[in-house]
Amino acid sequence: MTVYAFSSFSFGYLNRARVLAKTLKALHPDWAFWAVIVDTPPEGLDFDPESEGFSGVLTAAELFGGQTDAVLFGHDIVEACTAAKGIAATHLLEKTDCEKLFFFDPDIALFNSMDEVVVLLDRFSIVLTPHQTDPEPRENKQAILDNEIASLSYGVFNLGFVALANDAEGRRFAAWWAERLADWCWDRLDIGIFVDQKWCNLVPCFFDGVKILRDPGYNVASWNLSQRKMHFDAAGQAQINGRPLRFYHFTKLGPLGDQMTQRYAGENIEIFELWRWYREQVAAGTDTAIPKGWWAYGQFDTGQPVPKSVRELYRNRVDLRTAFKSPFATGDGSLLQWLEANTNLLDKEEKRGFLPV
Amino acid sequence: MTARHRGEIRQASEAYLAALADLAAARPDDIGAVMAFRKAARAIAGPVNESHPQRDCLPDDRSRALGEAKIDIIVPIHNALEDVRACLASLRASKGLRLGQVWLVDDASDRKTASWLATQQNGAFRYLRLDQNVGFTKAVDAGLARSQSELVVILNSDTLVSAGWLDALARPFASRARIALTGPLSNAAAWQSLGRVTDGHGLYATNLLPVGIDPAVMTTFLEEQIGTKFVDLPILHGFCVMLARDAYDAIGGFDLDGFGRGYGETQDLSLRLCKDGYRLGVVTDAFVQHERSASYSDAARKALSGHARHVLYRKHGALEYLRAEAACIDNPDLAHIRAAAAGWFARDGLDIPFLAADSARPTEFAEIAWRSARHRSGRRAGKSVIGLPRSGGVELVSLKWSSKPSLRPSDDHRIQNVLAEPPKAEAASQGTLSLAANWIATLGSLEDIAAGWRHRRDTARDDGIVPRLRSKTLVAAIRKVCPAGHLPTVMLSLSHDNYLTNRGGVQFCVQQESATAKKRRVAYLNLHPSQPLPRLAHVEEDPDTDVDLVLDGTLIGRSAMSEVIKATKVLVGAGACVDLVVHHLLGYNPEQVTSLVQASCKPCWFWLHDFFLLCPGFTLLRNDLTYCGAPPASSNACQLCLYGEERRSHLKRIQAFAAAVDLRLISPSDFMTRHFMAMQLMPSVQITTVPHMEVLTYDLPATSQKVVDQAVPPTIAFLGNPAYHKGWQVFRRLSQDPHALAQGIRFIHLGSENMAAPGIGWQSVLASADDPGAMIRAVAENSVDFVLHWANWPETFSFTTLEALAAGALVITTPGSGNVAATMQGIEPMLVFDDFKSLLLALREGRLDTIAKELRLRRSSSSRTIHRSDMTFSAMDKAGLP
Repeated sequence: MTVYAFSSFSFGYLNRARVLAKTLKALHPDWAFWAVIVDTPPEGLDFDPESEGFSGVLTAAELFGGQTDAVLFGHDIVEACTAAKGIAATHLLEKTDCEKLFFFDPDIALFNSMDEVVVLLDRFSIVLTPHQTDPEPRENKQAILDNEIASLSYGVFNLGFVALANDAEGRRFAAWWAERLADWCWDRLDIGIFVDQKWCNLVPCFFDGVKILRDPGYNVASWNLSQRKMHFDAAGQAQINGRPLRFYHFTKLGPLGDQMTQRYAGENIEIFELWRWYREQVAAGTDTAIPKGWWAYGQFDTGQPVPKSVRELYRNRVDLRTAFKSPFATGDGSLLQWLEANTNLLDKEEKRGFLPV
Repeated sequence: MTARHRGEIRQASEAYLAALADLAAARPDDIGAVMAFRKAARAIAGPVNESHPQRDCLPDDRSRALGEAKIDIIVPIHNALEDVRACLASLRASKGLRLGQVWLVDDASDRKTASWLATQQNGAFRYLRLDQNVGFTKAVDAGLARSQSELVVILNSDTLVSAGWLDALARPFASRARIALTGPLSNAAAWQSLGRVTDGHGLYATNLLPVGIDPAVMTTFLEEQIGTKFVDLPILHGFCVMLARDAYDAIGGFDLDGFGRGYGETQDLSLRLCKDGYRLGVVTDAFVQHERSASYSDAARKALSGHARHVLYRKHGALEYLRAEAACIDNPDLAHIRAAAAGWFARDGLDIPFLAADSARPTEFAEIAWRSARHRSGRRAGKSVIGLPRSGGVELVSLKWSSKPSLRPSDDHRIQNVLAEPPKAEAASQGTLSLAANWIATLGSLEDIAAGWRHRRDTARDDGIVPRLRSKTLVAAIRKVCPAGHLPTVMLSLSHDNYLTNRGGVQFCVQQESATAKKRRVAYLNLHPSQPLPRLAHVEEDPDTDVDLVLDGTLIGRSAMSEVIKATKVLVGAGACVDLVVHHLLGYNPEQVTSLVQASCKPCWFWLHDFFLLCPGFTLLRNDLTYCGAPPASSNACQLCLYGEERRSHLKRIQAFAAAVDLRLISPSDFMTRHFMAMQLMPSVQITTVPHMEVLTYDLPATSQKVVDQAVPPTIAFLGNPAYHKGWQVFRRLSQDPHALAQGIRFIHLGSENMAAPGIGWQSVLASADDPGAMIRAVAENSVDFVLHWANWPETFSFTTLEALAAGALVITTPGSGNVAATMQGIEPMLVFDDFKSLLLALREGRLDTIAKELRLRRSSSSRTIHRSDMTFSAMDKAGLP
């Protein structure tokens, strides 16, 4: 029997996924690590999954079949990569040799063995890691806002990681996860949904055998740095609050992530050392054949970007989904033509003026 | 609040603004009045933001025509040839498909400029000479008269453009109706500037671009981070505008009478276009660099600017104009772009870490930046620009570094300008970030550093100066310095750099050894890699490394290592005695060093000056910051360290080297001997301990004792290289402590480089083989009571510690400082502090003062002398070898 793991990403995140693959394979060479790629490769990209540590690839087309274009048109890139997670999990759990299944976000890197969780899955069906495992002090209102209140808005558990046993309850969870994501994988904080994370607040209510893993060495990220300190022991092993650092979630590589890291890492230099390393690894894994901001499903066939408002309109109106089965197509009778004639959504962004970063 | 109240407040606000505008109109040269208006307008946000509501119109036939029109460019030029050359070069490199003609309108430039411009007339570039100097606006008008295009760019001659700029400026004309004027973002274009809009005096700022950032980089940033947007504005800056000819003609063009010589003409045109219902604005994906006012002197610029305001106020009403100007300055969309740019500059990988600085210690931050720049470039001297945190923003300062190994920006570095003003919340959070985190943020990879060092050699171009020596010539040179009639006795010493020109502990040791060799009539041939590297040489990049050769203190030439090996074989074959000592392996192929040792048919003496045998990061500071203790190469610590990847192959090569030769390790201290043995790297290799020097103390007879002045406060000194890993920053912090200042404690740096640090005196001191006692003398002459040596790695030996003791001072240190702490642990009172806080407490409680008084008495009643070792010769003597 084999431990399976997977990540879901577009080619724009291949550089990060490469770091994940490299670090995962270094620690668990016997695992089967699958790439779920919600994208099609840009011309000229030389991507050989096997040589890069991926045991297999599931593409959006394989997961969504004839509905691929319609499904992906209704989601932005984050929603789409998340939407593929549930259905990919059900596919992989169907593999006869799949005993346990891990999901990692592509911007995670592993630093020490995940065997503890592998063992946990002998007793539990689902393992989740909360964003925070220790309350902020009452007087630190900024941290309460940044971390705890953010968790209340975006979901208690970080769905950058989930581990499942391939048992009845694990499969029941995967099926439910896939269903909800098929219908509701939206970034709609206004109605209380944030892709799959808010749904998973319900997991302890709906399922048995749920392990809420509070070990501080798992899923370390800017949202829990206020309560986690890193150091190296005499043998050079990275420790978080005295426990081995298992994996770090390098969320938001760039100024925003830097800002939150700086705010909460404080004098904990080792965290900055982690980031320095990660930036270097990502840079090394960056392929110039992938244009900046590449996502094959990001634009109509002519290259015109699909605004989020158009995606929302499409996913909310069954008549459009029925009438335009190939929403990315252009020309006579296309959705694009319909949009131009009947809406002002295509120039909405410009009409609104400048959109701040 | 009732509607009536709101109305009254609004009315009062309007009246207040009108009064301020009147004041400004009465004093058009007084920027203070303008500033007062802007401040009030900002406080009363409503009217400013509402004064130019955005209009929206769908594209029409005109837009479609303009979307395909060729674009002419008019560049009015008056002298400033260097700027013009750069501008035209950038234009030629960034033409684009829609470029029509470029009109170089020579506004009666001098002969040199004119004759050069005349040669530029080719292809799309046309030259138009005006014999009389008519000024900017009229020169533009002359160009416009020649141009036939419907879209025309007016471009200052002190600008730099990049690929795609024309298309970006033209795009809005095609996608919207009634667009008349577009402009780019810039570094010096009032509200269109990224960085600061105004300087501290209310004048429009000129933001210098950081090193390595050019318009193309800025454009990429804008394209990726901001995207293609159009920001409506009531006024555009005139340094670069694209105008639609029909709109221009419809409103009668530039006001040549009012603004003939330049300044104010585009503001006036903008407002008139607005009044006629046209739209103008900034495109967010074009960046044009602006050097600003290359053709006008400061005085002329000021006069023109004052005149322009006067005319603008008269034509449009001061209130209207100032309100429009304030709306531009405070435009929220442009403010967002500026904030995004500030954030972007804070990312890694740039020369300028704009943000993330400790605002409490800006000068130390500068030091960190300097170290980073020097470390990464590998250049010993150079110029860079760094960001210094100041309240509310980051100032760019020019940083020059000289050729000495340790130097800092002095406090008189010229503040050039301010590029970025981070949002307040970010600035607050970044204020807590430590210097160490800044250091990390600027670290490149080891290979980046190596590339920088290689670049240094490439630019030095010294290959032609140093003669290349084949083995035969080398043998002859060695024979020549040996006593005639005797078989040559030679010591080959391998070090990492030229000990004649570089200063430091290892170099001092080599100097000392060379001097001993002379006394012992041994030819001393020092080898050091011609290409310095921060690691071992890699066989695949350089299988036969070049070494520079210093024979008995004279640089004689350069040879490939293979030639040195051949020469050694020849000498040994002829019966010569060739001993070999390695002071450092940095920059060598250890495989070649193995061959050299084998050619000598002798053991290999190897100095443990540091921990290079264990790691290319020879101080064992993980990421050059924190002592790591050399954990397994497979550990997380090594995985995350700058040196980690290299270390894996490094260890294998070192182990192979150690196995292939008869290795005799020499340790400079008992501490290092114990420490190295505990690490179990080479348990079977014997270590000989040879301290570089020892201090001997003896009591003075009462008659020789000097009178002690106990009234003066203590003196604390820092000796030698003011490096981070030796605790210079701790010394700096101590010197700035208010209690230290209150007690009148004197701080002095004795070294070769003046750091010009505030509150720290400096005396030039350089200990060398010629004057080995220079430092001891300087410590004594300055009546130094304490020397701070706060090394954050285990020093294997410390000359300055012993020099301090030899001069009768005590050394303040920390337990992790290796042989410094080990030396001081045997001396009462022990000044080994667990951390900086404990040291500060001792100072604040007056304990240092008390100890200084006791110390002075002791110093007056004793004398000290030193004994220096013969370096490798001492080790050979100990081993009983001839």
